[in-house]
Amino acid sequence: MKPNRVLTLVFLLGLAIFIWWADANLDRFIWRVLNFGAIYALAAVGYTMINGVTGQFSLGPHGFMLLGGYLTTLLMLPLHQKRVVWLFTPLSWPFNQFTLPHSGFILALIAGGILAVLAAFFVGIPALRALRGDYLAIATFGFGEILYVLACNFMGLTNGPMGIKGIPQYTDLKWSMGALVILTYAAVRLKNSSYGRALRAIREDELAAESMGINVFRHKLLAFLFSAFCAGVAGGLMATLIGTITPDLFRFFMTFYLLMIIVLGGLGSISGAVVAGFIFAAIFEALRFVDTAVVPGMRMVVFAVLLILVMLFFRRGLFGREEFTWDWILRGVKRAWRWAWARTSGS
Amino acid sequence: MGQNEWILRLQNLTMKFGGLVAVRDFSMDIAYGELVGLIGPNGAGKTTIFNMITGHYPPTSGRVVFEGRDITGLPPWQVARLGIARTFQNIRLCREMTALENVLISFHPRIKSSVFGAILPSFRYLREERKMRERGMELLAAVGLEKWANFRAGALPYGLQRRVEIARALATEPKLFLLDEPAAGMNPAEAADLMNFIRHIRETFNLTIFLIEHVMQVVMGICPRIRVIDFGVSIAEGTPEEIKSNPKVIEAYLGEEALRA
Repeated sequence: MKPNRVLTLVFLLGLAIFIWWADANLDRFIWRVLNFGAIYALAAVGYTMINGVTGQFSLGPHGFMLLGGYLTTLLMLPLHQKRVVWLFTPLSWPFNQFTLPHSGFILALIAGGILAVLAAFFVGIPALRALRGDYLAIATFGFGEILYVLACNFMGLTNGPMGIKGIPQYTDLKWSMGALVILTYAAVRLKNSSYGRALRAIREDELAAESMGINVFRHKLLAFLFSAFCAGVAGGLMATLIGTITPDLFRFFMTFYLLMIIVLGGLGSISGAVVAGFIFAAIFEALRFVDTAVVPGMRMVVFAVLLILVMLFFRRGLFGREEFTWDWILRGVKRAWRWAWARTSGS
Repeated sequence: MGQNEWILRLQNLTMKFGGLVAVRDFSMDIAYGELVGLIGPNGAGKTTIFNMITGHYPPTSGRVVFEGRDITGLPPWQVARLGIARTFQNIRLCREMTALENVLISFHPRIKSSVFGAILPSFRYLREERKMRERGMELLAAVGLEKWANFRAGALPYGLQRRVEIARALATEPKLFLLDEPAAGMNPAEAADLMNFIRHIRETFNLTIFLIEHVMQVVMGICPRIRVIDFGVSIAEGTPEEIKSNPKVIEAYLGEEALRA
């Protein structure tokens, strides 16, 4: 086995032990921030596949997260809670008939992802075929807003703006980190495969890619569906972490957060999106005191200033388009070792 | 000549952009194995003709027949898969990708593994990927670029970028190769080199080549048959000698005064 693969396995093993320990013992506040970090990172990994790797400017992930969040909620909410929540309008069939047991959580998450993929399919076929650049951004943004309005008005499914509360808190680090690891693996493989080369070629020069026989539309759709799946699963995890869900949870600001994350990480860098997802969640919580001390909402202003500073000093985000590799770490360790060695032997 | 000898038949192609007629009633037949040049002054409509062949512009009227099949209006990616490859006047490489990756892009349309096979990855995908890399290195070697395989394409010198672009087009396994001003931006010595190179790849890959050039001297050396257009209209066709002495061609290139002098 290659040493890099050994390092990856050791890292995953360490991560598994940490998660097993953290779910039971870690300080609840830090635990929650880590969960949010993993969920943001998961949605960002998908988002960077369409926006960064393929270079198609979509503004729709909050819509896909909304779909995943509501479907997972409807599948997991206990029946007695369903009777309590839908007071004015009764809950529609078939969700008033059944609820999945705890062991069905994985099915609920996957179902949320698949629903998002189906929606992406119907939006993507007209939008990705005809539109690019700003126009694609507006079309996907419109899609997200339509879903918001629908969520506010389909009382029988969503309970409208009043939202749904009492969702069992099934999400823990096992689930959020597990989903993140699996889908990040898939994203890295996809990006480095022949399909990924086609996606990158579309970003670099769509006309040239098309002239080499690449069906540009189908590949854009592929990246779009992948991003929708990640967003759908992330939405489901978020709803079952917070315990409540309202249409406002998945408004445009969610896409704005994700956009900040993938730009911070470096557009097109998957490891950058993961790292930036956690950094975002941590800073977002660390700045909470600004909201309480100054004006509510001030947090976003401070955050925006921080982001501008990052952009000034790291023009292409933290990772650029590069990926994290063990070689990169090892080179750094070697250099530090040599430096330390030279200092001690010199004195 | 019989029907089967033509690889490409262009029949009365016309392209209008609004009120502007870029190409008017252009017809031409190219036989298998030919090396034909298309020349004309700037803005004569040469690239527009290429774009109509490759499907980037659907012609306003007229037909493009490739190997006996009407391909008018097919999208570029389908045209490419049928066996027509092209290069661009202003080199269009994926600059952030390596020279090898640029070539590998062209193999992608023929991949058999599904996207799930590529993600897992399946043994079949790994085998395909290894094959693609081997073939890609062979092609780069054939154009003398094996040393540069892992360099970022955008960082290569201009002349080498042109060769990467040619290698990338060859990787689609074309029957007909369209070269759009391959010698643009080169000095006479480099251009002469390139023309030898084009002759060489034509023999090794058994290609039919249709070549646009703006500088007459460059095509004169290698194309036995040359077509001249001006303002979107064909004005002459023949061997280099015939073209050189054709008054209409001299007028198009140098103006009427040159003719009188």
